[in-house]
Parts: sequence; C-alpha cells; structure tokens
Amino acid sequence: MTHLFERLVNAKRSLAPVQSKYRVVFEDPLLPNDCARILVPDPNWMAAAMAGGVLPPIETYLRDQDVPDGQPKEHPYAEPIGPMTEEQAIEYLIMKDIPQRVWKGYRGNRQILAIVPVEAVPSDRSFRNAWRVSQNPDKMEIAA
Amino acid sequence: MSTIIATTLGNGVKSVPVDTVVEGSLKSWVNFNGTGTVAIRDSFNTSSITDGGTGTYAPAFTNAMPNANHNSDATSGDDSGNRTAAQVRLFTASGYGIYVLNHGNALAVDSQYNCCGTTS
Repeated sequence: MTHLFERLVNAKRSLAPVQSKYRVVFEDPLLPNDCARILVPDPNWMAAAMAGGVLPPIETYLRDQDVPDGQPKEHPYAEPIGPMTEEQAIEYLIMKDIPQRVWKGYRGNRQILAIVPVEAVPSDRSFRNAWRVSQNPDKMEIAA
Repeated sequence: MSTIIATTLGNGVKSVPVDTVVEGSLKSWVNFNGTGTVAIRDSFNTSSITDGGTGTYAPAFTNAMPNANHNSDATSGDDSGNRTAAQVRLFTASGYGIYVLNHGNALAVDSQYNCCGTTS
C-alpha cells in the first residue's frame, strides 16, 4: 500500500481538478461574536475524493486529532477508500476541516452550519466581518 | 560524474516519483483568489481553505505535517495596486492561518492573489 503523500502526487499528475458547486457556511459556537466562516473545497482534493483510491477513511483523521504533535499519525498509512459523490465528499470535508463542536453535539437554537450552492454566497464582500449564517435555509444574510 | 536513473525514490515505507524531486515540490502549496467568491486556483496537498472574514484565510492539509513547527509562508498581491502584506500564524499540524493587511493603513484587506507554501 502506498503512502498518502505518494497517492496525492499521483492524483495531482493524473486527475483534472473539480471545482465544487458547494460551499459550507458555519459559525463557531465558542466564538459567538465572530462572523460566519466559509469552507472552500480544494479542486484537486475534490477530484481525488470523487476518483477514489486516494483519501483515507475519515475516522483516521478524527482519531489523529488526539495524537500529540510529533507522534506517528494513522491517516497517511491507512488503506484508501473508494470514490465518493460530491455531496459525500463535502460531508467528509466538514468532518475533517471543521471543528467537531460545530457539527457534533451542538445544542443551541441557532442554525450554525449550512451547505449552500456557491451562488448563495455573496460575491460582494462589503461588511464581510458582519456575515452570519442565515436562519433562512436557502441563503445567507448580511447582518449589521 | 555518475548519473542515477530511477523513476521513484523511496525508503521502504513511502516513495515519490523522481519528478517530484527533480522539478521541485513543496510539501503543500495553494494559490487562491481571496476576493469576490473565494476560490482556489491550484494547489497540492490542500483539502480546503476556510474564509474567516476580511483578509483571513486558513488552508488545511490533506496529509498533515509531523508537527505544528512547519515552515509555511504566504505572499499576497492585488491588481488594484494596493500594497498588501500577509502574516502567517496559528500553526497546527493540519493547517495554518493567513492574515492579509493593507500596507498603507494596516487594516485587514482581501487580496486577489494569495500564494502559500509549506515545507517541514
């Protein structure tokens, strides 16, 4: 079995990038005064996720969060998983790159996480630091 | 002078194509547009960028670094002529944060061209 880094090198050479049609908008419950954050999937990562045979199981990343710095991590050596749909890849990416407190165990009344089409994110970044996750599930709002 | 001809280099556990060494490669890099709808132009070993507000971005690695003490750098630029400076901080083994400032007034600003690279 090859190392994850080697699989990434080969994927970069052989797969065409895939620009995702989704973004993930979220707020951090530990930082309630902060603006909404937007997760932008990487096109080369998305191509690898949809092709399969490159990325390790998401459980390995979650277990590695508890591994101290400098200790060997599990995810580079894990058996790669098969192809994912774009939607499955976004769910994988949420678990990998967004803190667990956002997507697991949150008990507040506000919706703090939304997967939205790219077009739903304003391209005019005026007042960007005041953006919040819209409580209307179809779009974001710009809060004053 | 002798030449070693090989297609891959390895240590018995992991290997990389020789092109990666001959042509040069960082352990991770990303080039992205931080204005308008933030989008990644190209990258290697990057799974996502989190847009955290004006001039604030956080790339995440697909294959994490061994520890948080990696060498990550960022530069930023803009066609508008704004002179910008990029700071890198909040290092973890799985990513880092980039903060772009306007040189003129030291306020956070979005920049069109952000180029980041990591070695360890």
